[in-house]
Amino acid sequence: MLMKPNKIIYLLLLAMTFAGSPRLFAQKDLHISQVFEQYGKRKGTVMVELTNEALGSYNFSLFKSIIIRNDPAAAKFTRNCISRDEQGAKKIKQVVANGVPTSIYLQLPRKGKDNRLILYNESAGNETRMTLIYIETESDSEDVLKVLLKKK
Amino acid sequence: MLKIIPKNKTIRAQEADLLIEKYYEGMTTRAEEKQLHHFLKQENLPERFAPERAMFGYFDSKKQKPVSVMIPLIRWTSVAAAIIGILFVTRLAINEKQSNYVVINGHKYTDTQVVKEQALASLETLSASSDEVEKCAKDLNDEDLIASQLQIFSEND
Repeated sequence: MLMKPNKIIYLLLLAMTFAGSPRLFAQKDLHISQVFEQYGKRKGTVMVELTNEALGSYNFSLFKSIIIRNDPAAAKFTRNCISRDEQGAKKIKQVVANGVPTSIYLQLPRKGKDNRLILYNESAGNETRMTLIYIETESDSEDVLKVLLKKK
Repeated sequence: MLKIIPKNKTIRAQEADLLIEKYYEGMTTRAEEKQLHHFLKQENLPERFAPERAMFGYFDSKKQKPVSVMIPLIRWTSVAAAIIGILFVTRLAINEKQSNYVVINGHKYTDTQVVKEQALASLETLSASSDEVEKCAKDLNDEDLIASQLQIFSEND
């Protein structure tokens, strides 16, 4: 029996509204998404995105990282974004040098089945290098951190 | 005694009455029914024949003009919307699945091996000593953290 046309259109609109999987927009609610958007395609930057892939021995729903070299403004912008995303998050680690955070590891509130982590590091030397990593995973955060941070 | 009605002659009202009665009894022949049909087709018949005319469908019922243009249009629109919706959802699903890439100095690469290598390279800057790793992982566990902080107070007693 055919459905009324209005019902079909309504169901389609509903489907399209929810069609964008939550995963696609999971990180978009965070301020750090602006870092990826603004700096991801610039010279001197390496940006990685992996979706539903295994890295090492763990499966990640989403792995997103960005490395920016020799850009103190970008590092400052990133730290500002992280300080806003800190709301409601658990700070696992923070290292401060000369009043400036150089390492920040945050565990964000869970989104559905996924644990979420933000890892930030800034190293100075011949060149300054800022690394920002955002992870979503169903695996246990503790186990994931141990694997990720193990010295290579 | 029943009168034989010639086939081609239009019957009169009285004859029609007889035929109708015979019809209701189920006794009419095909020829007699044809005669009856022919009679009831006429306009300006007495009112008493109205039920039989209705039964045979000879009333000019005011049929509503079918919306013959709109229904196909709505149907095709909904089909088109369904196809577009399916394409949209499929495209989103494909995009999500294929979201593995690395952008280096503004150039995009999608080779999964290269992408994974770059991902692991980004993790190298975060690698720490085993003690530090243990401490970070431990700090995730609230119970241990609270217990260790409370211990400070118990040691001071």
